[in-house]
Amino acid sequence: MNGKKKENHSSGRTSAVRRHEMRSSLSRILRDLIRRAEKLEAYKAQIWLGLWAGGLLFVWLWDFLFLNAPERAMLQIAFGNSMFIASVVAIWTMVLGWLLAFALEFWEVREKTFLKTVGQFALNLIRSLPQIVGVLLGYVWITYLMDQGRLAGSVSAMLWMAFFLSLFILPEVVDMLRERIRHFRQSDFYNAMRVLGIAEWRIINDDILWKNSRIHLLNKTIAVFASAIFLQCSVDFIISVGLSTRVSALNLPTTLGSLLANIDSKQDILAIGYSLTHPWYFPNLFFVHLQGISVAFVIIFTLFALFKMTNALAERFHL
Amino acid sequence: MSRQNLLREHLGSVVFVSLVMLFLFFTQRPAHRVAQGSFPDEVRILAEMNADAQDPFQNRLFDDFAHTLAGKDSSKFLRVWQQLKKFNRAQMQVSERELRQKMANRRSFAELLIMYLNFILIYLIVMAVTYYGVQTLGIYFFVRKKQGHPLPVVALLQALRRVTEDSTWVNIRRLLRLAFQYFAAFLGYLILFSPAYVIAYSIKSDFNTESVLFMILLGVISNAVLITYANKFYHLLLNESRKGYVRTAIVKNLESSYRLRGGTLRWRQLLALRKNFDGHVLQHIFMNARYQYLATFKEQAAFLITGLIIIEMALNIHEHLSYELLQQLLYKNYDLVVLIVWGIFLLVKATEFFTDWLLLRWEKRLETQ
Repeated sequence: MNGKKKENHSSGRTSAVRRHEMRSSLSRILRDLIRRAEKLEAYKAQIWLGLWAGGLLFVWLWDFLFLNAPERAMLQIAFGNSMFIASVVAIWTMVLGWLLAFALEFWEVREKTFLKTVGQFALNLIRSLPQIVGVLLGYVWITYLMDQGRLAGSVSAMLWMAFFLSLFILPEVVDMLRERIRHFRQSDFYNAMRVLGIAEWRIINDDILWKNSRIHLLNKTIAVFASAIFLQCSVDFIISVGLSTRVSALNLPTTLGSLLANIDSKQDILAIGYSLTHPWYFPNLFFVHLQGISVAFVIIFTLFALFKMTNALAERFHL
Repeated sequence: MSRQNLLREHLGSVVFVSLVMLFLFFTQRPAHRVAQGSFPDEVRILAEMNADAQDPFQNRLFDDFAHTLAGKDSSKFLRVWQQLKKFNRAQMQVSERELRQKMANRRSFAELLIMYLNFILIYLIVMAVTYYGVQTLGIYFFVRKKQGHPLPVVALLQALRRVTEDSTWVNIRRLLRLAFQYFAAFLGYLILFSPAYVIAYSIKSDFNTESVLFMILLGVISNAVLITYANKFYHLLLNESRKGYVRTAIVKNLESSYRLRGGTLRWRQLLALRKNFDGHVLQHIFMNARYQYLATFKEQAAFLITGLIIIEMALNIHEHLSYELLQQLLYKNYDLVVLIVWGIFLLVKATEFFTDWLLLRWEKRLETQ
């Protein structure tokens, strides 16, 4: 009996020692992880980019497993179209914004008052019209072109959409670029370069905007991309809900916004409210109501991740 | 450009746009439209010449003309006349139907004015709430940053490490609380970034989403308005806090502790309508950041109006201005569309004018000081 007790006692001690060893090794691993994680502060933007890509991949995999093929194909097309339009908007807005900011500054230096006033006036006019109204009127123009048969193919329709979106996002980019130019104009290096005989356009384009404002440009491009997605989804949703009888016949390209306005997606979104009052229904959202939930999640998560990216860049580079 | 010039420019653009809008308004009054359809060009040309296929005199004249000119081949001209009859009938039907629909959906000026005033009221309330929310949330983010909280992943790992080293109930609870806090914050962010229509549709079946109160709530929390501008304000505070005068003030022993429990800062101060942090360095940072924030107010106003329009349009809230804009677009009542767009433009311009006037007054006050 005594022998057995001793054996039990010693085995209990051994397991306690083992547990202790396991705990301390786990603690060591966690300490290393903490040390590594603390260094991540500087890479927040990249991490959010990774999380965004990872989140989208996860949604795609989930949909691959649980969403039927036709709806999944529609979701993929809508996502692709939305990303294409937003990318074109980001590129056009930055290029147009750069050109316009440069032109306005150039006219100011050369004292071309009339041109500068006209440019500034037009810009302020665009700014004073809420983006959604401007883009909506732009869409009316697109539907008119489609109605007349002058706009064939979804790519040209998407390019027109991108044009109107970039037109109404443009003022904020021009403001940012002009602010940068004015900021550097007050510094000594600007005057020094002018005295050295370096041309105005080179100082603005090369030294101020390219060499000293690239990170601002990157940050703004991400913000423009996010604005484009938000506006595009909103307008497409509004058009699909409010103008559906006229526009559906014209076949505007499917985007995340129009897919969300689809009757199936709307039912899926309504199910969220139902599951708030009937909690046992909640798991169904991720299996039965996948189309609408996926579209809504992709839109919101994209906006959230892009916001986090711009925020991280702004904090890191003191923008 | 000086602020006084800006004010002048605002007036100039209001006059210019108003003239353009008035011109469009009067030129876009309802008119009959030409019927659409697959009719040959000859028929359209005859229609444009106001040829009436029902008129026996014109019919006889056309008949004689065709016989004289084409002889035996005149039958194809007579077919054109038959098609013109169909074209006239189609034109009448289409234009009448369209016109009936257009007229039935038109709104009187008084009705639109009431909707417009209602829109302005909602806008002002949302603006006021957002103004408070942006500052409160921005300061809260700033204070948290200054408190030096670690990254969420680091905080979670630290709590997990404490649990592995000492598995007491207190440590486990702390870990769970932290995990819950971060999860709730993530959900909160998702709500703040949700477009209004997603939130509204998700609770449409259980709540009345057409009430004004709900619209105000949606206007504040959705479409990322609050979070975007709170973040902007937070960055203004952060940039201000890096300036030399702040460091000098801290060196000269001005209170700079950002602890909310047991420190000089209080939750009450943070949540107050008129924020005041007297005796704390935050007061100076806040005052200077607020001045810069006012300059972004114009941008925020346009963004906010965009949000409100989205809410009214996407939720199909009847008897509201933006819904009406969509309806009038649908029925091609472009004169009313012009009127509504003009109203919205004037509202944005009024906000811009007010902001510039406020900044001008502030600048003058600073100059005299």
